Amino acid sequence: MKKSEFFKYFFVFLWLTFILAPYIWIFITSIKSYDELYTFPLKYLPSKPTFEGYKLLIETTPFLTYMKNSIIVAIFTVTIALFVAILASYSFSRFNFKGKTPLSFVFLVTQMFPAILLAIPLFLLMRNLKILNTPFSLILAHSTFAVPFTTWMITGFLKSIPRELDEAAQIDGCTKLGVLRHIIIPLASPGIIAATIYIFIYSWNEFLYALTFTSDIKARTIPVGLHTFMGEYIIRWDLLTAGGIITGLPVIIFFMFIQRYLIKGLTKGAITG
Amino acid sequence: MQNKLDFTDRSGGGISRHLFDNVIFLGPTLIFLFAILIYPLIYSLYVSFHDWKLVSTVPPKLIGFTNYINALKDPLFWNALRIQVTFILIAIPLELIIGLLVALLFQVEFFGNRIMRTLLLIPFFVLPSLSGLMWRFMLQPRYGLIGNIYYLLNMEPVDWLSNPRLTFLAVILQDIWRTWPFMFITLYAALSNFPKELKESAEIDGANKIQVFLKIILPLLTPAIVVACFLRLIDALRIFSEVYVMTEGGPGHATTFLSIYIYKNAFRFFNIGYANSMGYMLTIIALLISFYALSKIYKEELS
Repeated sequence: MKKSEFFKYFFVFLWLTFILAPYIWIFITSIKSYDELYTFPLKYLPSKPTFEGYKLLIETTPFLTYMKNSIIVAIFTVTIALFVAILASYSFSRFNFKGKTPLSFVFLVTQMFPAILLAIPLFLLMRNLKILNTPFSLILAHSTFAVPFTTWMITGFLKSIPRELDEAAQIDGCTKLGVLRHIIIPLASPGIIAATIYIFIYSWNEFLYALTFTSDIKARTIPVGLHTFMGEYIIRWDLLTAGGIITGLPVIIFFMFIQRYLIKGLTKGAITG
Repeated sequence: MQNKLDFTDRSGGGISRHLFDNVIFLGPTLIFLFAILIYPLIYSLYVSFHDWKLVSTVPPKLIGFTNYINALKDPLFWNALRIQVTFILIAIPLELIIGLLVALLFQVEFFGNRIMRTLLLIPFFVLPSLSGLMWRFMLQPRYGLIGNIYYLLNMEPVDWLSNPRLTFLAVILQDIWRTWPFMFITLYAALSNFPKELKESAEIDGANKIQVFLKIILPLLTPAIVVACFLRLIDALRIFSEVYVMTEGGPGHATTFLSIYIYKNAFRFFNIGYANSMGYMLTIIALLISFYALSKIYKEELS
């Protein structure tokens, strides 16, 4: 190994350790016993690893309820966004109509809006509709981001599918919806899968709307649920670290699974606007 | 490219059939967009012109631009804006430099290249609120990882999160740690698209590495850098959850970013008219930057 190469490995490895250290640290903390958590000076490794924190989290806190809510909200957000966005993307990528350019511009611009601006009027509307403190409020709120984003992302993928395929199928007597179902969706499935997972992660991670719209334990999602373990006087780090690991793990697994598509979609979108 | 199919429909019916298709395909989106995006946005503009309390029996009163004028006179609004700008000016350039350096490092194939690249991206995708939480934990003076450094150096641990300057620094560090992968992956992808011959021909000519970078790579990379910085800027303008979890805007107002100040006005002080007027000002800033950047980006793409 050349000297310069050695330094390179060394640097990359050091950087990787620095980047992953917080995750490793909260994992180690999550398997410490309660007494060892607050010792001074700090003990790096647990003398007897235990899953007591995880057990306490599941048995004594509403964590499983939070998790159920998070899953419901994410799945419905993804379903709605995909249904609406696939139809719209097909239209954007295939038809010419009046107002197409301004409309696609609206899609792009709405993604620049800060969530806090929308949170207030959505709160008022949901209060009037009496759907505050229900998963439904979060599904709608998350859709404000998910629908335009998914449309924008899938349109990019559909544009790369040759139109000759649609035309051939239509000559064979396929309707437009048939073309979409039998030709476009199968061909665009990598893009659709990437969008699905991206929206799932977005919804799973979302904090501001969840904080604003759900004050009831029954309706809370994980990010806000975890936040409530930080009380005024006491912060339950044993519960927080265990909860953090359980919450972060699905994201990491999903991300590993689809990172190639995701990065492709992300960078492609970023470069071509 | 024009799609001829739209206008010469084989099933007959011409334009009306075409309209029908568009209603089916675009209808759901338009209804959705209007109901949960356009209507609330107009509604919040309406609210911003009122003296409107979230929990009150008194009906809202129309007061015109008073909320906007009050915001411009509010030292805490300016404080939030100042914090936001300082944060952006420090964090984004650092993220760019780190992202660019690591992207350059990863251009050469080496053993473990792919897996390391993937692992490095994790912080960007995992919950921002969890990131805030972890940093808050690491910064605990007695049992946190960073507090422990003081102990190892035989110093009295410092509680970062009770010191305004250190808290602000911690928020910046947290943000760099969490979002530099975005710069990295965007620039990495852009660099990967460069033709190899370009670099090789320059090396044959005897240009040294730094010159190759400055004279050839950097100019070609500029569009990607501009886009990446723009997207990060838009995101940094609305930073909320990680800071809220980490510091709740404190100590004092040291990390009360705009979104946090607006949130507090709306849901702690219930002053939603005022909060909305500030929300609109933040949005106008974001939109002005967006229009400027988008017009530049598209112009460059066209020419």
